[in-house]
Amino acid sequence: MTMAPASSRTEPVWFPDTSALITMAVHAPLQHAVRETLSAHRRVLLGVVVAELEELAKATHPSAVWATTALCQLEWLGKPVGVDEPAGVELAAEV
Amino acid sequence: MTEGLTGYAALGIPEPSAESEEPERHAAQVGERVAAARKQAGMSGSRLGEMVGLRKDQISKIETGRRRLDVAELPKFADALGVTVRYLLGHTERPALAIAARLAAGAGPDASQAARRRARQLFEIDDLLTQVAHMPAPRPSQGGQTVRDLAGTVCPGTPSSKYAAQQHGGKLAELTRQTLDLGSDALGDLAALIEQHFAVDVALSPLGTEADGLCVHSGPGALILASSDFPDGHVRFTLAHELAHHILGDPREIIEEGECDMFADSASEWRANAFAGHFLMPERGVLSVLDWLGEKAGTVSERAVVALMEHFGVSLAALLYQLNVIGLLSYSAGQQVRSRGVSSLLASHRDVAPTGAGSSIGHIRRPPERLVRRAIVAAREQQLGVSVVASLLERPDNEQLWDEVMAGAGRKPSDPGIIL
Repeated sequence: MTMAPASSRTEPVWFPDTSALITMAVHAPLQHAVRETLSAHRRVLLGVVVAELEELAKATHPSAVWATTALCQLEWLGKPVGVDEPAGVELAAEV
Repeated sequence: MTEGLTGYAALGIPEPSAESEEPERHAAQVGERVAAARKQAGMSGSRLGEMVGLRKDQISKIETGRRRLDVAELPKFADALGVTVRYLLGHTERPALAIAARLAAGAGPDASQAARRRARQLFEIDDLLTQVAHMPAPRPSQGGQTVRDLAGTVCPGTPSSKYAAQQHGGKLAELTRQTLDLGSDALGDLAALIEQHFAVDVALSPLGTEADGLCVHSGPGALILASSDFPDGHVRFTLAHELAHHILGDPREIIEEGECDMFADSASEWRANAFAGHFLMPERGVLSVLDWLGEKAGTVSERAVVALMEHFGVSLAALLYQLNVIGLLSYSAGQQVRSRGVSSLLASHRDVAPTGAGSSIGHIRRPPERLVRRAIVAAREQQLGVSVVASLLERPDNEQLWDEVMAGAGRKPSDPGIIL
């Protein structure tokens, strides 16, 4: 999980990464605790993270199951931001 | 619970529409910057392609905006071109980070690799402290600025001969001492003096004896990094020599100094050496010490040589060079003294050189004071971890360091008992 300063440089923005999402997928209490804490904060799901989860979901057991579970738990993170768009590229480079 | 924003809204930017031309325009701008950096580096498209693992036609497409540079490719392009990712993306340039990138990209001599690595680390920390801890840029003192402003009047152009270089270096040293009100006696903490007046960060590290160090100019400021694996007097001469390059606005961004470079057959090196000699050992100061020792006029005994080394904290070689320049010791007489060897001379005249200043090897680790002070404050205010202080001090990041840094919370970093 990466935290970066927001453009306003006052409030942080959270960027959950692939491993954080998979960890949460295999441990429901952890996912609940993280959602509870971060739901009040700004958070951004990067398109590359979703793409990586989709690739893992095609892989062999058990990572495929974890990745699939993670893909089903992304709603609270909002629409993914693509890194092939200028803003996304800049963010990915910053982070 | 308040629901925080997500996605583009969380970033405070509008969601791009499918028809937006923004991505294409951005790709074209990145491509233009790649082309500009490649031309600046004097590199062909084929060569850049080889370095980043692409074909020449793919480079051409990137430069003309017909192929978008993937985020994963940006660091490779930045490394190959000696620029930063920020530059390629068109962000406001961060000078310290840009220099760190060029230090990493440049293929300097093997002997100076350790110095380049340390310099790069210091510039990266400089950037971190500027971004996170709002460290202000270094500023010269009024006197230091005056010296830089007037340097061109005492050193007009490149000296045409060794004699002219001597004259220029001597006059510049005199101007510097006079403007900064330093009198003609020995200079104490030379590193601190340079930092205080010239917007220069000075660092000493045990970097081996393959190279003396390097000097990096970054706009109005600079970093002078010297290896402390040499005798202290040698290190002081290196610092003064690099200071001359800085005051005179040497156009080279990175100056790497081995013994061969510092004593190279070039006008700018002669001038820098002359400055270092006169700045560290001004004629009036030398004569005053000789008078105090009761030396007969026009003579310099072995005992006086040892006493002068101790007094001015300089190496034997630097002292003999300067005594020759100011006409107090002939070259052959100097060589005769030199043949005795420093250890033997010190042992014979311990009464006038109780500390052996100038000839001892300190292996000192001295980070730039400006960076250490800000890093300690930032660590205490929890803006940054203590690991930044550890990197600056070249010490392990452990509980002892944490205690030393945090024990002073509430006190100024300059107070006694703090690690500085």
